Amino acid sequence: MNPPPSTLFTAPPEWQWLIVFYFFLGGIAGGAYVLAVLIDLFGDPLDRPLARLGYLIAFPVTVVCGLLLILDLQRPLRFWHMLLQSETLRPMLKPWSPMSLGSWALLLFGGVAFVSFLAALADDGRGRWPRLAVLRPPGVLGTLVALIGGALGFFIAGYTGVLLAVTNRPIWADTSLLGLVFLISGVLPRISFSMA
Amino acid sequence: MTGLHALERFDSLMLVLELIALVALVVSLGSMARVWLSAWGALLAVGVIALGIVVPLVLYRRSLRLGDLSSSTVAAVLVLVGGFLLRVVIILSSEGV
Repeated sequence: MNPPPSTLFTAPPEWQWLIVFYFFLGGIAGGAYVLAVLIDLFGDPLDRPLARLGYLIAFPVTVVCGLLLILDLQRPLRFWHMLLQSETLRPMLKPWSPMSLGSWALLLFGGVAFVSFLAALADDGRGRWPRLAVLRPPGVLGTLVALIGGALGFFIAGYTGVLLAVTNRPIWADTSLLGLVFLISGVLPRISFSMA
Repeated sequence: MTGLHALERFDSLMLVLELIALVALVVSLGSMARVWLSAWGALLAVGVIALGIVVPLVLYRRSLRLGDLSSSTVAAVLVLVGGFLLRVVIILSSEGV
């Protein structure tokens, strides 16, 4: 049986290499943060340097992710329209759209990942503000930051598969398992990245 | 070292889960999976499944058994490449239909 004709589907979004790299790096950033949080909260204190590496990876990679998404836009300078309404400057949030949710999640995750990045530097005796180390577990404030960032990182690592699944494109729309596959393979590269 | 070996075990478990999820994904595609009877499918089979999952699993076992850290480093790089190729296949093969 041949695949259905392409006219059955909506026009392709023309996602190419920038989006491929975004999907890949998004998995690494989100997975790096989630695993760092898991190690910090449940791991051996001897493994804190490993968790620190996760925080130090997550933020810069998230920045690259944002840049890739902006560069992929036909009009990159209008990227903020994904986040704010142009007339009122109120938040442009569409809870039913994985793309809109993903934009917000990436922004928020970037903010939390930045806090954890600074905290990890401070915890390592580097950086100008050693007091920022309290923003990393095991303290209450650090645990709160880690839990919020972990939830956002989990979302970043897996939402891309869901984003594909809700389109009307061949392959992407024909399975509900892409989110799961991307989530699993998003955690994997992160772990591997630390080990490499 | 303890942490690295724990990660190796966790990574191995995740690799098995990824393999199962990938097989389930291909099955769930039904007739649409025929799109991958092409170079994309070859890339999925060789690049993602063989080099990105099966070979790293073997290398992790070797590392855990013999304490050979160079095996786990190679495995880690292969898993990275496999994760990237998975996204290449999923995104670009659909664009080509």
